[in-house]
Amino acid sequence: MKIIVCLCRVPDTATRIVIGASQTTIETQGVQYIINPFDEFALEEAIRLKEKIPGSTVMVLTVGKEDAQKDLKTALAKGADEAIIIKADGPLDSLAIARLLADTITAAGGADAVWCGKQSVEDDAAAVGPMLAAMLDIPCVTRLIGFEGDAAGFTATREVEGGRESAKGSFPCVFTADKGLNKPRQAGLKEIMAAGKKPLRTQAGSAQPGSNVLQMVLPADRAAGRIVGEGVAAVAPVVDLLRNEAKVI
Amino acid sequence: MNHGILVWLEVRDGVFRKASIEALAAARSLATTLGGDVIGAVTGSGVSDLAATAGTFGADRVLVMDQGFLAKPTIEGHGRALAQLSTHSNASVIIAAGTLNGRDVAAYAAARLGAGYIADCTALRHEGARLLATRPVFAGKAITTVTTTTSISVVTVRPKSYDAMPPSPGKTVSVETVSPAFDAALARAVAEAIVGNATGTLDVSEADVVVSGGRGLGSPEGFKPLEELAAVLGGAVGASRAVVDAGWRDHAAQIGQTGKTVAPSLYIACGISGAIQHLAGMRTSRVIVAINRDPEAPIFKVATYGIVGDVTDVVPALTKAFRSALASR
Repeated sequence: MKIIVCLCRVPDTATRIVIGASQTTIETQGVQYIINPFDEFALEEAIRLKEKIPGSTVMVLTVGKEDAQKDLKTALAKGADEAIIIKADGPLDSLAIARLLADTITAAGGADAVWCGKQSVEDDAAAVGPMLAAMLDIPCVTRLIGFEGDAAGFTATREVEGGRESAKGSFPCVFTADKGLNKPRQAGLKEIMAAGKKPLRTQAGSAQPGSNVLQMVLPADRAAGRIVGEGVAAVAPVVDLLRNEAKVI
Repeated sequence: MNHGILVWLEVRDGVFRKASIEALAAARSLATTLGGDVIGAVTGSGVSDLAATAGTFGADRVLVMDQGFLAKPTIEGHGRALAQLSTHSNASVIIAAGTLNGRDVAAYAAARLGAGYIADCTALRHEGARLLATRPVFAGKAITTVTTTTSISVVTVRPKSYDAMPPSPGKTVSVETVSPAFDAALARAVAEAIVGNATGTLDVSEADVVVSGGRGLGSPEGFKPLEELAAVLGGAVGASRAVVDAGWRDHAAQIGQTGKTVAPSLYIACGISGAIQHLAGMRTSRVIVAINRDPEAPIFKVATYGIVGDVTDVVPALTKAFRSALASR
């Protein structure tokens, strides 16, 4: 089985956002980048699927720059077989990123399973997975919190508002991973050493975005609140404020 | 030139979802100055009668694709149907509610149409023919203004961003039935079944009151008083990343950048210090009450009302006080 995982790099979730000089992106100076947390679950599930079905391969794709090498090497150390950085100029949106990934997957002869995180914790659009499915003309199941697959097909569990859904299907399919799907492994020293020999290349790509950011600002500060008091003594005044000042109860 | 605004009206349990009716209101408000019809798009199985009621909620006319293979909420089936109805209507703007399903279907349709897509918008306006959307990024740590560069724009509107219009019961509008011009086989490839609510409780993203707990509760059992408080207020129980990672609560309850973004009327943070990724997920709540032992905890910077104290004492006292306050109303 040919398995593809799409990874992206995002600012660590502990990052305090500062708006960049362009006023359309964040200031990246001093920001620590990590693999998008949801993509970690996608990678783990892809490697588990490979381990379950003999003869499977995992190829990792990222749209980005050379600085993604470190994260791709981590993915190779965890069990991926091959990695590609797709380098494209200019600001990219979900549509352009999905197009770049779809073109690369098609050029690689297609895939049986494509894994993505449910969304990046940067753009929060949650669009690349469904867009990839549309471009590759294969089904898509999103936000998985459970997955069982073998050569014959899969059963997946996904979260919907206030409930869960189960989905059954066969490959090929695009999957997006949510938190709770699995516990990603750590690569050992031996695997990290061996990953240096696995193929990792950079190729150029181009795609037209369908949208662009005109402005980025910080959200307005909340009106200053106040500490009403200490311990149980503060309970009655707070309930009174909620009722008579804030009028929420 | 604007040829209309198409709104995908998501059907769940035989009715339009509330967020879809809000999306109709967003379209209506845009159409006031942009011009063109507001066209409802209904996809599903046995939905024709329901489709005819879309006028009640603000649609000028309705397109419906009523097919057995659309009974399940598959992305492929409804995504293709929406793309076809969009082309059929010639609409310039396609709007769907930013529900989980709506966002999947809209993104899929946008890719089919080669259209620029803006997800999870909190406000829509236009400058001439150009659509401008406001959307939070980084779970709300920053706010962007985004436009599309394609002739068709697809957007999803975050639930609760627009108020539904007062319904005009009995308002009849024209309904046009469209047959699928695509192969339905793909839409049948994935069979989905709702297996019910994981916890039997209200989802944090839909609750009007959220009582949330963090590591300060000390143990999984520490959530019991929070459940009692939430029950009195008719709310849902949320959790910080730390306690979800520790296995104390289900990840479905997690609030923050790798969990859910919530904006209830009342958010009560119990024993939550206020990590930056947590604050991102709840800072737009209307009123925030924080209870924490540490007066320097960052949560107090966003709290409307703070109580410095031990959650194990304060929360049960709050439950009691709310119970009698609500009884005397």
